[in-house]
Amino acid sequence: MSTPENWTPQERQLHDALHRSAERVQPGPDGLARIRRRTAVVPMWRRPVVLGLAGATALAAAVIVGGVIALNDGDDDAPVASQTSTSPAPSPSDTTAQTAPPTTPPAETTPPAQSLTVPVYYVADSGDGLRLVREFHAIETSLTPIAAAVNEMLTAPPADPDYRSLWAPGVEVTAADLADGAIVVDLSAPPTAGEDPDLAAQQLVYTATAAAASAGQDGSLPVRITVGGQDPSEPIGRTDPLEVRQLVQLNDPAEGATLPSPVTVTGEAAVYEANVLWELRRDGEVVDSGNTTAEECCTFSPFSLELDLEPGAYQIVVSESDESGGEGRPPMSDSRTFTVE
Amino acid sequence: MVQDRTGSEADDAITDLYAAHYVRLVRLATLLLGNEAVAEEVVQDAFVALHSRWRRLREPAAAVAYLRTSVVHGSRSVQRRRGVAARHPDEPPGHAPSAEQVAVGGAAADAVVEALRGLPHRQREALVLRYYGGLSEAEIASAMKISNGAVKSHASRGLAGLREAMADWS
Repeated sequence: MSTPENWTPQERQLHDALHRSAERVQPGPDGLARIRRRTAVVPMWRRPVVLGLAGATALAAAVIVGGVIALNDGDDDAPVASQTSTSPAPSPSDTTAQTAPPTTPPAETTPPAQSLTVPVYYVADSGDGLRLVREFHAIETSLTPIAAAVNEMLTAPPADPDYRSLWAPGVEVTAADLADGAIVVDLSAPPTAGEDPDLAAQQLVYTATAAAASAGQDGSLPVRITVGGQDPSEPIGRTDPLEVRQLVQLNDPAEGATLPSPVTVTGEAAVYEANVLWELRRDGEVVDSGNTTAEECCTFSPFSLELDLEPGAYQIVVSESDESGGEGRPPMSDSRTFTVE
Repeated sequence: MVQDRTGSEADDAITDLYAAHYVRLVRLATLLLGNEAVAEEVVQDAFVALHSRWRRLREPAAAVAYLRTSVVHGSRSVQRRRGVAARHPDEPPGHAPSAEQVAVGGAAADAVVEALRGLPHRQREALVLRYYGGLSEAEIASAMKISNGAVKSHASRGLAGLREAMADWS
């Protein structure tokens, strides 16, 4: 083997160039968590805990899903599908000129840029296949809240390195409006069929409905997707969150946030006995851990905890407890990296 | 909490190996592949594969060699895994350098790394493993699954191929 002593100048130059180039590569902070999730994976169909939860909370789920169904106006919407090509849905060129239905926010006409914080759904490998996860993004936009949120989902990457989108780049939102008992989201181009199209549709539906709800509109409406104002899809409602959402979801701190101590960690979880486990890590080492309780068992409900921390970089990991004794799927978890100033 | 009944020994080993080698392996794979996101996936694949083989390995030295071999092999085959490549469009080498890095000669380094990318992959591997990885000929041979003599010849042909780019940078 060559040693630096007998290297030629060319070899030294190559050595330096490679090191200089390599040092610019900064891997994401969450590689170990990603590896862990995968080393814990069991076959997807083995999900006794989820099935148990779903059964135990059928009532809660029915309330949520029922809202969607009840407001869906059934088959009365069918004519809209055939009419769309002649008028109601917005075409890409007249988003600002269309006659807005009464429920459309006034910002639709002359859109000034405004600051919005919008919910954006992505997917993550939960240990039980891909599931929906959510971030809140602060954006400057001239779009309506629903359009802005869906557009953010289509065009912006997630901040959390564990998250990703099922939507390939290249598609934007031209408009999103409430019409005939549905949220109509119009896309600039047909989406490419990728992996798991059903979950991709849910990624959009969850984003659009969450944005509607957080803008004070009706978040229980189903969503129709059109492309260039054409080809409206059937209305798609939210699938039961217990089936499609990651059962543990962190809201705060945001990925990469810098904040003062004490740090408030908040999120939502749908977990057995409402028991949420947490671990605080520094440099991959667990420095503290414990558990907290979500407000309700087995349906999505909020949890929070407060941590008194010295300045430094941390990772918080929250997870459900494993009630199957290791026999079922691995517990779902969510993590965030943040800095205490 | 999140863990660990059986396989906890493997988990601990992965944690240690991750702390000691992950960043360097990602950098190595990035030099081989030219795409940091894909490089991370390749390295994570290597750790996951190591975890599943842990019982047959056990030894830290063998584990590192196994990771290295997996990363080289994974980088080789990644172009064939179209799914991975499609998710991560090509990035410029060592993307998003800071102004200071460019000022300190990053552009010249980029020229070399780019020239490296034009080499046949075995030549590129031999050069990256030797001049970035700092490995011996035997270690390179084992990572590339070729003979010591073949390492020598790939490396010297690779250096010859780079000479032109290197001449512009001095």
